[in-house]
Amino acid sequence: MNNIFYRISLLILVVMFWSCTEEIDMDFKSGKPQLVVDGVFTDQVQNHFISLSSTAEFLSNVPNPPVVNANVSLNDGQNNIQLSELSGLPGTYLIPSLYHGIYGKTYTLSVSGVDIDNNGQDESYKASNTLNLISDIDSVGLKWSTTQGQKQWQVLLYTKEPEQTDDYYAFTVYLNNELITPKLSETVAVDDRYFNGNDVSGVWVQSVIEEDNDGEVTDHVLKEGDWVKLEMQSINKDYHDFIKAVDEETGIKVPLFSGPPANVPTNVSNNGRGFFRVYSLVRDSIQVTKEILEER
Amino acid sequence: MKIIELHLKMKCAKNTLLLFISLIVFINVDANQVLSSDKDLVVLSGDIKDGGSGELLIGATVYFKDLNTGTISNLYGFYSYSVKPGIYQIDIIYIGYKTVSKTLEIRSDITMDIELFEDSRDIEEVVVTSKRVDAHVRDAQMSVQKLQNKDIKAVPALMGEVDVIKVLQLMPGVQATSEGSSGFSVRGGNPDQNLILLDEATVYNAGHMLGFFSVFNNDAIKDVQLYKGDIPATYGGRLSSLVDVRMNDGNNKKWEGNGGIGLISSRLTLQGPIVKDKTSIIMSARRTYADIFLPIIADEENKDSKIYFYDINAKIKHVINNNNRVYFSFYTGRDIFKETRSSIDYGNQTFTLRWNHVYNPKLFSNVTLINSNYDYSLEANDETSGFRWDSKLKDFSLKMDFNYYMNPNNTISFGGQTIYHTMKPGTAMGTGETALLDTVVVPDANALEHALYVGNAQSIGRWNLRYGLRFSGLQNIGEGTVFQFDENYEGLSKNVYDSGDVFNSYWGLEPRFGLSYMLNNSSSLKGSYARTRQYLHLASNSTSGTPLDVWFMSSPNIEPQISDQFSVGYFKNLSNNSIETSVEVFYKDMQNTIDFKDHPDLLLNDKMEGELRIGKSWSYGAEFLLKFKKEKFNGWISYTWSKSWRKIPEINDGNKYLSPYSHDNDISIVLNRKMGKRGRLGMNWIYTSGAPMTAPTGRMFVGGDVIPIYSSRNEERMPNYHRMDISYTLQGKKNKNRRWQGEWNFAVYNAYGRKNAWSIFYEQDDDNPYEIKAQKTYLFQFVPSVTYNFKF
Repeated sequence: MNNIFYRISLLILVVMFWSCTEEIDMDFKSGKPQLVVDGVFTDQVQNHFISLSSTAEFLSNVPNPPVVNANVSLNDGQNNIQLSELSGLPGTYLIPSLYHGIYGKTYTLSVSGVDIDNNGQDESYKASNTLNLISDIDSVGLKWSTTQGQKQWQVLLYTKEPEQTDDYYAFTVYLNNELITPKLSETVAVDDRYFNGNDVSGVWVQSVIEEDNDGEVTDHVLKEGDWVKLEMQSINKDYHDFIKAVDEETGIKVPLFSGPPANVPTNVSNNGRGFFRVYSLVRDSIQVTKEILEER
Repeated sequence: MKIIELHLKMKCAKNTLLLFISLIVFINVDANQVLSSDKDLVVLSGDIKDGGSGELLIGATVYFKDLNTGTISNLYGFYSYSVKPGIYQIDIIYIGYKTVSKTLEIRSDITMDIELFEDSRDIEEVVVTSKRVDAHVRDAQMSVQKLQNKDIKAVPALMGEVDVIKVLQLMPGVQATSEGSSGFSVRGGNPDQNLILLDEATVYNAGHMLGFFSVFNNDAIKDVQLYKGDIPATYGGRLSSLVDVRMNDGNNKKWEGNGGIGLISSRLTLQGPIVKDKTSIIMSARRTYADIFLPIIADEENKDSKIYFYDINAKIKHVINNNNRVYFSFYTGRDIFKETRSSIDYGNQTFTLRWNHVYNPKLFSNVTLINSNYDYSLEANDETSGFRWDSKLKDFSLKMDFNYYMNPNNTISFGGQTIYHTMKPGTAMGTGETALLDTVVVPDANALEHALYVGNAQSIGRWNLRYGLRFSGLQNIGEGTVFQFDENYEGLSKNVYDSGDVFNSYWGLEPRFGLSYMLNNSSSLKGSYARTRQYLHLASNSTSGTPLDVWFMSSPNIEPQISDQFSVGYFKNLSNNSIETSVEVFYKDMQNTIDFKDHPDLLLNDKMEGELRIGKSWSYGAEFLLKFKKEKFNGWISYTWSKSWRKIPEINDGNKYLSPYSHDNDISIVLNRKMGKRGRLGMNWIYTSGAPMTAPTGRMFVGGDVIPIYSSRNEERMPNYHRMDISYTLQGKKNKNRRWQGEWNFAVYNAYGRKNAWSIFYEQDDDNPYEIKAQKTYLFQFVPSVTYNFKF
């Protein structure tokens, strides 16, 4: 919906032809360093990674400093496993593939033995999240669309949405097994307000953009035989709100429709930041055929 | 138990009001006995009108020279004044009109209508008489600004669209919420704390084109008054200000027309008598045509887009007889935006039916029936995932006002109002072939808002007093849905109430008090205190108005907002009253202030109340004004220093923070100079300290995004704002034989092209994801315009 606001206000400004954007020199204060948790844990049998870093100056323009040699563990209420830091990737800690998420369990990540604020005393942090059940994708569709100069394939979802629960979903898309929406701000998060309990037959949930708003052709022009894979994640409300907030804080702000900037929420305790994301997921693919391409 | 408490509260409040009314009467009876008996006095009353058009004049002075005092006409041009029988020299004065002097022998009650004729010279040439009763200094009313159609026209405007709200924003204590916006903040208050009335009907969204133009077509407007806090007891319902816009009644002597052709819009007004001196009609229309440029400037996609707005104002006045007049006013306006995949349209509609009745020369009444509407819809046209969202707001209201001109020293006003509010905050439904999306309905809300008031304007020697009491309340009535929230603002359960059930009430008293003390003939000290209560609030956390306004009512979860404002001021006139100066200092304390949690979900959310955070706020400041009317030169200079704070437990860790509308320094200079016989030069310069903003103090890297980390809310400032606008108006040659009169207006908005930041955001570099650039968006850099205005 924000997208509509943005487009409409843009159109109005275009018509009034008096809006311009330019770089502005600004000084920013710097705050105390804080721990940032960036980690994913799912129900898939695969390696999961937790990266720990510390916050940096706003205009530092380099990767944030990794937090190394931390004592990191994962607890599911019964078992506790220690995570080891990858030797080649400082600040990245591994959850081995033999350990994966199970529906209904709450997973708590603990970090200790680090002194982020450099006061000579170690701090410890915790971040918890629960894994939700997911229903299957029936099938995936593709539909060509040109709006606002952006040329794209709408990725459509067909599924049966459970009625009893308030559900939240996130969607990412792969092209030939390459994730083409790698950023959180490109992940689409929705709640089931508009289709709770429905037979969802063809709702637009993600896009493969061939030509962006500036008219530049992307690397994702579909060819016959390509595979487009949709990933549906069953997430909880906290994570949903986090994705929405990241989207707001990283996009263009139009005063008409944006509220004041605010920190994105976190599930890390003790004044930490970031989000430990736990979810279940399903994937389904569609192969690009001649018939589909004819739509273009 | 709670109901009993409420009843007691209500009863108690009503008793207080009755006590107050009797007190006023007692004080005055007492005073009368000491001074002179009312019985000896005779009354001069009637209407003051424009002799050319029959238009009733608001605020014209009837000045008794021998007594060195007088009265002013009310909002319907009616005046009444009691004197001892005798022979009097009377001046009737109204700015821009020739003063009428009369010698009258008043032995018994006299009804006399007075016609004033427009001074053919320009407003700035009028030499103001030194003997004039000067309301600026003498009146106990403070913190008020009056504007007429002409004053508004003299100020250079964006794209030549003359706009009353933009002129109000140049007054001390009033600031635009953001560049070019018709939203405004009065003394640090929120934009939704301004009551904007058009012929007494509430206008819920005063902006067109996302707020860049106001809904008021200047050609249809007679008079505008802005009360910045010392609001008379007659009005209420909003905390910060009252903008009282009165439409022209229409010429009841002859048919005439006027209009204009501008860069983005054209206007036409026609007015004249249906029955001469009895019934008049006026109709004004305006429409923009910015979208005709679309095929030229837009790409293929947008060629068929639509962007325009229109307004229609109409009013009929009918004089039944000397003691009875009726008026019917109508306004409708709409904005339409449509592009290939989405559309928004929205608009206001108001109807007002009024009946003025003069019971006797001392008692004037007005009964008003009002209907106000605001609605919008938003549509996304997608074959599969399309949806349409509608929202509506409707008021029906009955209002009764009485003015009782008891004696020369006391004018009592009293009356009451009941408004029936209905809100349909939002219905969204799937559209398109298959309608995949469900209908989502945010439940309707209904309420009755009541008010009773009584007030008196009293003069005692050098003292002028104005005091009143307003008793107001809100009753939430069914059908209604109320959610209960836990301490984390999660909606737990809901109560659904049947149609007609009164399930919640709030009642309260609003005392208003003002006084002035004349230090000498040209200077005075004034002070005022006002309590105001607000039952309707706007769910918007953007600093710039949007058409998607969600208004909501006080309810079991949301108490009414309450404000207590104290002001004191020094007023002095110089140079034969041609220069008015004033200094005012104010302090405002507000309870139950509403703000929103971080990243609130305000649209189509039936549990929207859970997104609100309640606390308190306060603001203070000083306002300086120097206004001058010289022969060739007029204008004003205003300077405001102010601060506005909020403190809300769950926001900013409970620490106080600046309101987004707190600008420390605000300077406006408005000048208007006559150039030769036909030319006029207008200039204004505006300077405002940058608006408070929340700036990043760090960054983090999560999920592939660089995400800003912010410190305290509104701790930093946007860059300071300033701009200059210039206009030149050239009147056509005067030719008495020709009916058609034209004038050209050339204007430049933001003449020195400053790139004032409208918004600041941060963009990730395309190539290096770690690099962040701060960007600003600016609007309206050097906007020239040309307008041709005509009259026939």
